[in-house]
Amino acid sequence: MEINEDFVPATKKCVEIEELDDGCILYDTEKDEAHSLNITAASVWTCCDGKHSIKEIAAIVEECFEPKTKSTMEDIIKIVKVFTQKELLRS
Amino acid sequence: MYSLDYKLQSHRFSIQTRNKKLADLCSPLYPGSRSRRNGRADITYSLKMRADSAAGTIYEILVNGKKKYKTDSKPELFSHLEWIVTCNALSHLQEFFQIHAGAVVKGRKLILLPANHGSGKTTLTLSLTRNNYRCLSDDIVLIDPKSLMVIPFPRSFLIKEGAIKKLVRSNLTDKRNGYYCSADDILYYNPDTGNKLSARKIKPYAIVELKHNRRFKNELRPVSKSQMCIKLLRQSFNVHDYKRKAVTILTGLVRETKCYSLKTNNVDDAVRLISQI
Repeated sequence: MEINEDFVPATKKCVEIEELDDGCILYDTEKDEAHSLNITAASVWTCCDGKHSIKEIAAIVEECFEPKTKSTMEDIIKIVKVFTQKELLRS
Repeated sequence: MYSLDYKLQSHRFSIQTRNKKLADLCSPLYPGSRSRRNGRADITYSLKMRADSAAGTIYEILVNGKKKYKTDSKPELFSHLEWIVTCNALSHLQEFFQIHAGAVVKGRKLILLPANHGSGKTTLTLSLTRNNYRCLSDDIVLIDPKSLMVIPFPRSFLIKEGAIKKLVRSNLTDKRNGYYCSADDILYYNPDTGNKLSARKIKPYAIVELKHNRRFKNELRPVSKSQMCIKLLRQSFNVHDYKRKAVTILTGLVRETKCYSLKTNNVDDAVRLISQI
């Protein structure tokens, strides 16, 4: 599965979220595993609704965080790749 | 028969022996948790001592009448007894979420000190008690899942071998509070002797992850709550019984606390940095 700017990520239903001020905890109820996300990754996670592409998610993140670097798209692709590696997204 | 009865929260246990010296040595194990016999003990530990022509004196631990351990060393007997009692107490106290951490309190500021085995929790906790902190535990913290209050786990510190000399040299322990089984072998130290404040249930004010190494620069820095949450999950004894609920408990816990990582190369600086929280 190629993850590029057109990829539309969707979170698995078995992954539950606990929000914190500086990020969140994801809990995979099937694998009984917990993962910590920083605030940027947590924002990306909430956008992975199966409706928005990475390009659109990048625009939302840029609007919310006003990032200093111009590599938002690359960063989000990296984050989504990590989600995929951890099997947190629907295939 | 000497019978010592204890109550650790909902867990009742009894240590019985016919030997007065062994009974005396058992009494400082769980200070403040001795109880009057009231109802049946969940577990009865029996200590036996007999002469053996080859090994000298043999000590045995029986748990509910079944032989569990045998040794010819008195310090090993107490070290093992303390280990068995603590493991059984934890398996009985499943109503509490259990974390491998020290806990100290000063005023209303309760500080949790989660760390891996051998990271210096006992040494630091002991040092903090000498700086007007009250010790709630050096190794095991019980959390009430509903209120997120910390429940004291008041056992004596078990200090072994080389650490005894080191702590005595640095005036962290003294014989008034400590209890030697044998001069250089093992020491039970009751950190609570000098402090008459009653144990209160209180929510943590800060959580400080300990990392000790001689090469470290002394540093106390904030860490993210989500990272701390994962660290606490890894330090839990009964996370597998709580599963999803463990995440809810710990996120609830970290939400209201300050989270830090403490890197130190010596205990004095560790105390100084913690006192600044």
